Amino acid sequence: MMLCSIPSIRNGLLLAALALAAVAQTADRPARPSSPYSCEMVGGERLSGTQVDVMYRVVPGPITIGKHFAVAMLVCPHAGVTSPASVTVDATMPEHRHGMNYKPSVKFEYGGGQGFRYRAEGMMFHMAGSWELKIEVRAGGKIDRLTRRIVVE
Amino acid sequence: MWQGVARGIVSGASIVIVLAWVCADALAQTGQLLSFSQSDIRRIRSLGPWPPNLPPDPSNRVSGKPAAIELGERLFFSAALSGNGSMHCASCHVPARTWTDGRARGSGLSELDRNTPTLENLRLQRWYGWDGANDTLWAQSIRPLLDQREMHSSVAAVARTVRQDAQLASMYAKTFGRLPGAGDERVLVNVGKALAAFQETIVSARSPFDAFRDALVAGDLVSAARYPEAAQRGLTLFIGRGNCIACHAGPAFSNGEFHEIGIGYFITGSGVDSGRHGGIARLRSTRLNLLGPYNDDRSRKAAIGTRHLREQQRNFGEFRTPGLRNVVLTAPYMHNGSLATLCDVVNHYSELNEERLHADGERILKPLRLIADEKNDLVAFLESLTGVGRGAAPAERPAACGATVR
Ligand code: HEC
Ligand code: HEC
Ligand SMILES: [Cu+2]
Repeated sequence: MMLCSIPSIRNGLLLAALALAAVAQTADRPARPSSPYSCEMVGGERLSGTQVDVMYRVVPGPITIGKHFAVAMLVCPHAGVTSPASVTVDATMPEHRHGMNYKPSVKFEYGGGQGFRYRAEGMMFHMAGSWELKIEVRAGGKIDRLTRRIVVE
Repeated sequence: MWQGVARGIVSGASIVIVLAWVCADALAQTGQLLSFSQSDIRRIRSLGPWPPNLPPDPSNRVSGKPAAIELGERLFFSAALSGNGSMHCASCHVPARTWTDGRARGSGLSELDRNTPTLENLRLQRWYGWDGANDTLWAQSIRPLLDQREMHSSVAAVARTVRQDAQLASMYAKTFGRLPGAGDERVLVNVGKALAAFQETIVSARSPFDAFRDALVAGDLVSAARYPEAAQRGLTLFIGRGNCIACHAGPAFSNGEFHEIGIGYFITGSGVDSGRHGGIARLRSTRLNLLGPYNDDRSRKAAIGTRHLREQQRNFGEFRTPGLRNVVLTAPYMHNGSLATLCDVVNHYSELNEERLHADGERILKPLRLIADEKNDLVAFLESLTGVGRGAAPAERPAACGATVR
């Protein structure tokens, strides 16, 4: 009888947790600056800087330890910011004090109403654990350093 | 037990995991199967399946072809390929010794600085040699032919041997579609490709660990419980506190990359072994790499690593993480053969001298300070990676690791 009530308790808790998470998310996210670009990427994740927003996606995802992957990016300058001058991508394991054994190459693909498409090839996470992906965009005479923690198992 | 069920439901885990959890707890009481958490099971799962499904090497158009494998086997055991007709590949990579020679460092026409590695499971690697100086198995197979300390032949001599030996020439024609031509280098590279095709077929047999892994993943806890308890405890250390899996990852127990673990790299008489640092330099300087003219894959997809290599200060003294299948059969250990037994290896990781690690190197290893029982457990786990049918562990099976040195 006690046991039967547990799933409902669980459901209640779950809903509460989801609601809390939603609140936390909206609170965390800075108001999105207006941008002339639609900046949409299917399955992409958004990183917001002072000059640009970057949508990125790992290809093929999810990351496998010791296998090369690419990062597809859509760089979207904020209103009034010129087009990006350069984009670099790198990653480190801060707790292990090392980076990747490979130096990715970044290629500009094309620009349009969505934003500016770039692709980084030659990435590899060679150990399990917590990595920090770094995307640096030089635009409008300034550099946006965008980072994201990625844990691979 | 009801507590176990409640725990499972609340955590939202699937029924299978709930049952696995409950039963693992129950069996643990009878002392047969330790309890493994969901994340433990994910890690254990990542160490298989075995044998792996291996596609042919795209850079080698005869990879996986029966005629090439036959020619490669013939070449592997052929002393005619060496400069003075006295040595073949199997002089050092002895099949009955798990394709090693049992010596600390290799010995050919003269002494080498490095330990002779096994040739098992090479298709799973990306870099070859302790320093990764080659990016294909076929290029790596050419190196000993020309090295004057090993077989000490020459490009012209190898090509001449293949042309003049009627049987080799006809097997060559069957493999490559034409008799060996006038270009010596092309013939040499094809010899390397046939040798590679043969070596790719050398794969470790399934081990007791694989049976355990498959049973655990399938939720067959009765079968899983047959895996010795000491090995289970050792495995727990390997994937947990010991963090061995950080580098010894995946089905071959190697991430295929390079690390420094505090093994000295001074060479008697001749300075230092710069490890990966020199490996990168040699890889870049050879036209036999994947960026060169002999890569059979027009798309150059496999060359992505070679194209993006990054040279770093820490590469100095780094060596490729060795695979660990059949490791008990391939003593002595490390790039310079400096550790005689698995107990010595475990003691090394346990008492690690952090000052010996590179100042600007990685921060992954910490002395584990294992007690004697834990060392024996870790060795029991490493022994359980031995292929079934490989007989008992060798005569020099390590004794118990003994008391912890304080
Ligand atoms: C004199 C002993 C000796 C002979 C003969 C020899 N090898 Fe080796 N082999 C070694 C040593 C030592 C290494 C490690 C070299 C290094 O890391 O620089 C090695 C490494 C290798 C590797 C790399 C394995 C890995 O894990 O990356 C391959 C493949 C290989 N040998 C194949 C061959 C073939 C094929 C032949 C015959 C053509 C041959 N070897 C002849 C001693 C020998
Ligand atoms: C930082 C990465 C890393 C970690 C963590 C690590 N290893 Fe290693 N292991 C290596 C490298 C690299 C070598 C070869 C070093 C050399 O030759 O200089 C090696 C060598 C070995 C060898 C010798 C294999 C052979 O054929 O010579 C064994 C056995 C071994 N490790 C077991 C373990 C165990 C057990 C643990 C956990 C306690 C562990 N390793 C943790 C990278 C690592
Ligand atoms: Cu790391």
